[in-house]
Amino acid sequence: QPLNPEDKLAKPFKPRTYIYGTINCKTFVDLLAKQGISDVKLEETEEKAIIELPNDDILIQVENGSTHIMCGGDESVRVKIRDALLQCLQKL
Amino acid sequence: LVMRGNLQLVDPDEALRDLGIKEHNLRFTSTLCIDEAGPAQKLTEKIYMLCKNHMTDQQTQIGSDGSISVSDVMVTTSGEDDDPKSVLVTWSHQDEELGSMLMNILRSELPIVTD
Repeated sequence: QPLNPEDKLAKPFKPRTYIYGTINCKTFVDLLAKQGISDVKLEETEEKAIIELPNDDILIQVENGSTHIMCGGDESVRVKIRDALLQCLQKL
Repeated sequence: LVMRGNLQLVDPDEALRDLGIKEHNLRFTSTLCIDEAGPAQKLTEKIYMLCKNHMTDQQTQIGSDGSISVSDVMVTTSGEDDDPKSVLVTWSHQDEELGSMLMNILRSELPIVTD
């Protein structure tokens, strides 16, 4: 049977990745250093960690179950941080 | 998810719950400084049109608070009339492709202030 027009317009299904786990901040900082980002300030408490990259004007808030990366418009640095962070998490 | 020898299709959130897994919420906020005088609203409208024209397959809207949503990616503009404007783009890891694409469009189409 020919597809009806609405089905032809439907977006293709894209499988998505689910990330989970806890970030070990020291491992994360080591991974950043491997990416060439070594000017890092880490402040850790029991509930959360603040990681500051003053040279790149970037702030990373790590809490139990969530991470927020706040940065300027330099996509190349953001992608390096993202990739280092994803290495600290597990995927499904 | 395989249960009692039967293969069942279940909602992803339900499957994660069954596995005892909580998804990690990874969010990005990228700030662009734009060299454009005039009201922030004018820049908002310009960005809205850029999003409409470049991302035709996404639902783009302006909210009552002046923020733009391109599907689940949010764009907000602020700044005084005579000053450069700040444009904040926020998205989650699951919208990475869209957020990254939008950043590239804004960076190539708007006058970015560089240090």
